[in-house]
Amino acid sequence: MNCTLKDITSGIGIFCKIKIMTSPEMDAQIHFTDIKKHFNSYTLTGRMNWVLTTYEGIALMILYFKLRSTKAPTVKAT
Amino acid sequence: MGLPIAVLIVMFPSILFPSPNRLINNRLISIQQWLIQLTSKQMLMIHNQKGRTWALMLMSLIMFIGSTNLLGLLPHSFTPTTQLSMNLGMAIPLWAGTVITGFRHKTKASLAHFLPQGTPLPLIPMLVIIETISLFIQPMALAVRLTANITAGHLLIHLIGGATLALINISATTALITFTILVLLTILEFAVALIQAYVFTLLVSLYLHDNT
Repeated sequence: MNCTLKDITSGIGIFCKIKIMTSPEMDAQIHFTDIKKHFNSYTLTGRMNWVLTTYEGIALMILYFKLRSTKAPTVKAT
Repeated sequence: MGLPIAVLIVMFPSILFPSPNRLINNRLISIQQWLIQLTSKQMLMIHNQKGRTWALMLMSLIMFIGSTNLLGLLPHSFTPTTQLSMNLGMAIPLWAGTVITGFRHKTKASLAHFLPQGTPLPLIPMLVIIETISLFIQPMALAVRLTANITAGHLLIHLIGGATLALINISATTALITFTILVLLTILEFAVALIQAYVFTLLVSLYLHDNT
């Protein structure tokens, strides 16, 4: 089980630590609405969707620049 | 025979590990079995059922690299692990095997691994790219780490040995100091030989753990 540990220290007066543990199994407890349900950086699904979107964005950019370079007419110097 | 000698050199360490063929074996085999059990228990502790199917692969890997590195410390011998081609040939298939295992059995988790949990929104694309690059650098780092460590050690021994020989006729005291350094360096290289084998195998084991 992969767990991330976050320590939050209260700086007022008494020194105390609160540990917040998140894990893929607790994703069901995190409730997002609308688009954040599918695109967030906490749940497995959200992270996966962001990764796939980033890859698709990069692929589209490469495709765009490739097509632009093939379409642009070559200008001959006179 | 037409066989390159490098093939025989690579195959030679396997002769040093005879197969146990009795219930109670001789001292050599008993010691080797004990060492293998000690290493495998420690290394496979973190793995689940699926990860433990790689036990034979990981133990063979550490035994091969360890024995090859140690044999390379003999004078005038050839060390296959100084060749980057050989180390890449070990690192890339093993790393690719762990990655493909992860994508095959846990596709969502493997893809989600490219984005650390809790990343702020503006940093997401950059971090995905950085994590992808760091994934593809893993086999290169594995191979280059082993090559560089073993090559550097051998080079140092060669240079300091040459310096000791040259200094014998010039100044006996300096030659003695250089010889002492050479002895200490050789002891260090024995340790490095075993440590690098352990580090290589441990990292492959960790990549496997991330993907199973």
